[in-house]
Amino acid sequence: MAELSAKDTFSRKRLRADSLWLTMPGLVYMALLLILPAGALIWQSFIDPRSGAFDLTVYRQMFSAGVYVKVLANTFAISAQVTIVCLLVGYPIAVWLAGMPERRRRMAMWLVLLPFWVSPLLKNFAWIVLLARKGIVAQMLTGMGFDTQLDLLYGRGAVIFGMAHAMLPLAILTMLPTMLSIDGRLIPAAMTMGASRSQSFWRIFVPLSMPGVAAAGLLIFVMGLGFFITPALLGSPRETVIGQMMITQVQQLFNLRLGGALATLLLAVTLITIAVYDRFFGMSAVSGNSAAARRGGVIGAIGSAMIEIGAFVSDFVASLFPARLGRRVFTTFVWVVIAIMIVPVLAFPPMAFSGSSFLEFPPKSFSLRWFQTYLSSDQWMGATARSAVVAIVTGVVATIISGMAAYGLARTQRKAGGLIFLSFMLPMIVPNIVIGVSLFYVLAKVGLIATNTGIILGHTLSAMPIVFVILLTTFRSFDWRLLQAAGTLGANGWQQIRLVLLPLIKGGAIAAFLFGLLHSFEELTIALFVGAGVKQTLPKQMWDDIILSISPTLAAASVFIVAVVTVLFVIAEKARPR
Amino acid sequence: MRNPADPITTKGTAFDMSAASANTPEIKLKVNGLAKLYGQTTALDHVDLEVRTGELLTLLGPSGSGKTTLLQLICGLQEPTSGTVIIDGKDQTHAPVNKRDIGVVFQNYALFPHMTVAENVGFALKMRRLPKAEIDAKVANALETVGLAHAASRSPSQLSGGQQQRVALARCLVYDPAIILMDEPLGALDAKLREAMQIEIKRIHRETGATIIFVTHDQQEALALSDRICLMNDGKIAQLGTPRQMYDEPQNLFVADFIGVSSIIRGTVRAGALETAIGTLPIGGEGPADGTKGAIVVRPEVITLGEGFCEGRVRETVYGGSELRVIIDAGKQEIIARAPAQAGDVAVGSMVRFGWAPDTARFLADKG
Repeated sequence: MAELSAKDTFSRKRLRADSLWLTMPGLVYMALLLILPAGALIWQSFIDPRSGAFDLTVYRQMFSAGVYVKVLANTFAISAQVTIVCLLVGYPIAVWLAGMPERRRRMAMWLVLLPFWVSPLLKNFAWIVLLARKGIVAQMLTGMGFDTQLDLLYGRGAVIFGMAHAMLPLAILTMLPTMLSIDGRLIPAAMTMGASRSQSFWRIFVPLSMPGVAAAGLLIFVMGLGFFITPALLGSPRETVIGQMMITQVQQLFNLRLGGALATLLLAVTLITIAVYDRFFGMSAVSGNSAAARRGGVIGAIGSAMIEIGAFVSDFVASLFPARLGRRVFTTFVWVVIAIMIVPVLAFPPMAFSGSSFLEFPPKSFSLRWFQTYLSSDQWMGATARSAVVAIVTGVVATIISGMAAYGLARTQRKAGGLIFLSFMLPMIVPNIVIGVSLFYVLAKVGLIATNTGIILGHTLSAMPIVFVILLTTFRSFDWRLLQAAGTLGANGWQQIRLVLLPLIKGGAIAAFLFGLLHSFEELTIALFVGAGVKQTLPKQMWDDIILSISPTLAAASVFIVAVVTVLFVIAEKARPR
Repeated sequence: MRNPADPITTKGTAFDMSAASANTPEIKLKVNGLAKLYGQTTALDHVDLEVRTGELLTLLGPSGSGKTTLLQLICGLQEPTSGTVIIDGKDQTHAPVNKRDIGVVFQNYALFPHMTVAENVGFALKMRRLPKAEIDAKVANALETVGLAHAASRSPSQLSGGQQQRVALARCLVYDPAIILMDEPLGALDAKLREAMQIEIKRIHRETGATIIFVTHDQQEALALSDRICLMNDGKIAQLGTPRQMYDEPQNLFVADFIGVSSIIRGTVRAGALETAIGTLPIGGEGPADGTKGAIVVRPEVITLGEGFCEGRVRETVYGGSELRVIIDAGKQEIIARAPAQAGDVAVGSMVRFGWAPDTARFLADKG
């Protein structure tokens, strides 16, 4: 008996010290569905399929053909331009949000969060209609006396605009936490010491907000490298990016070796970018741990020069104009940007109720015929049903795997924690399109291509980072002494979990599940490759329709998606603990 | 202890002008009818206050008494609803915060985390566009004053709480502002360090001759530090005077209760004595008119135990090292007395007689 109880306490102690093992299922998942497939895809690009020998032909082919180099340069330039636009436009919005009292900010946040959760596909689709040659924007501009032959779509400008528009909410949401962590008394402190409003903004607020700006810059740039939706929908052939190239090579030419080579290139560029970023800013800025950026060096010198110039210029401008005018310009800018962010989301419903046989905004007559078309089409209904099932299963699986890992990580004291955290962030770092192509390559070998299971496996992988982060924050904010307190009051292990832990983390778990579900429901890239044109999800069906012919049925489907997204995201946001 | 021959001033000027008139001090800050309303709530109710050059004045009061509002109005972080703020004879009521010649030590110091200690201290001088050499010299000097010359190139996060406090102080001293305002600056420090910093602040104040307004809710701190204390309650000044005046001559029950420990016994005046629940108590000096309602305030140290005109049961004794505090229940009335620690023979639950010399207690009439 004594022996038994001794063994019991021993094993329990070991369990508590080693909660890190709970991250294993998630890590194995990452290894099997991310590292292994990506590795295999890259590996086969270096191997001659006939002889099995090491071979660089595809790379030689890739770099000798001017088109690939040009596409690579394109991808880089577009991503960089989008990053700059996002930071410049997003920064004032984040400042605006950070300056609000808590209560009002929560309200205003919806204006950013809603466009954040509407997928780029939907947002870009709306712009196709709004910016069309005879569309509403062109008409307005013509009315204002601009050139009547305006070509707003299908050019570099449209691509930058569309991509920046798609990513702006993410930029704002990444910059905001750093700004909120700045002690609110620092600006008044600077002003009591004689600094003007603009001086204290530039010398105190701007430098302290830089880690968030750098993190947002990295995120947007890296995501931009793998982005293909906007260049495909709003660009001309001259704006072709690597992502589109990969789709062509894999889906139309079945050239997996070249596809693999392109994936290697994309991944390498991404990793180099991250390494360079880490060199200058340190990765801690991404997780928002350190308030102060690393000093010195080139970046430091440029930074302080920028601050001096900014302070001087804004002081000079402030001396010319009354302060009230400055505020008015700022407020106007903020509301114009927010209006532009929201407009495409609001533009769907009217278009879907149009009676005409082509998409127009504003609609000239009312009818429900396009909803009828949508609801009676087997193709659309099949895709909708599949998306719903896939999304729910993805949400459940991702929540369970990430939940175990987040619990394990939150309770560990070990050094390995940082590395494990980074592993769960991998699906966000590796471009989606690389994940898509490598899953296409590997799942085909095990017969999971063109199956719902395959899509679910892929979606769970790419939903993991967001689900994991929400659950980790939930578990980290949980006061573990409460369980000890329950224990001293007589609750056994299961009772502690059921009566104390679960009620307190419920909100976070629901939010994590719903965000995982939403992610899957709107995901296009992986569905594009793994569905292989056989198992159509709703976004994939939309993508095909937009590419082939734009019909008002699309608007009806969009209304449905936006409605689902809005409802779920409102529930999730309300449930999420802060 | 107050001399019984002294006139008792229950009403009148906020501080004793006759003492000051011999050498009329220069007025650094003058606040006239300053008021601040937040919607329907009055945070500050038409306050008049004069701060003399070179003095350390404490704004003391419970939370919500308006002391922080007054501070913010003085430094311009808020706009008053009415009234004026005059610094060095100039009306600064509507001057923006960066154009007033003031220094503020914030509650949690508000040191700039992205700057070194020296950069923090030099910030105000940089804003005033002083030449670099002069900035360096003044910064070194200010850090010397607070004893942190060795920490100039460190970042604030590498310093202890007490050191951060000194940096915040040096950051104000360096540009020699007309007034230094300190908003509960010692609140975040532990008891030992707080006492050390109080002595440090007294020394720096004496050496620099700076005019300091110090906000606190801790009456001990106020008594220890101040030249004068301005006790606030409900957005008004309850009493203004030297620490000694505040303790020995409280002008109303709020002051008597807030500063130091006292037993407050309520009742009605009859024939020069106060009729209370625990008996008729003598009133020292000139007795107020019959029928006046009020209370007698007795400090623990004047109560004698073992003999006297009252009796009560010992409810609790609290050992405090140098003294033994004795809490007595006389009916529903609580009396706090003090016995030498060596006494040690006060048994909880026993009946004890107590009393005090009539002159050592103070009668305060109810308002209105």
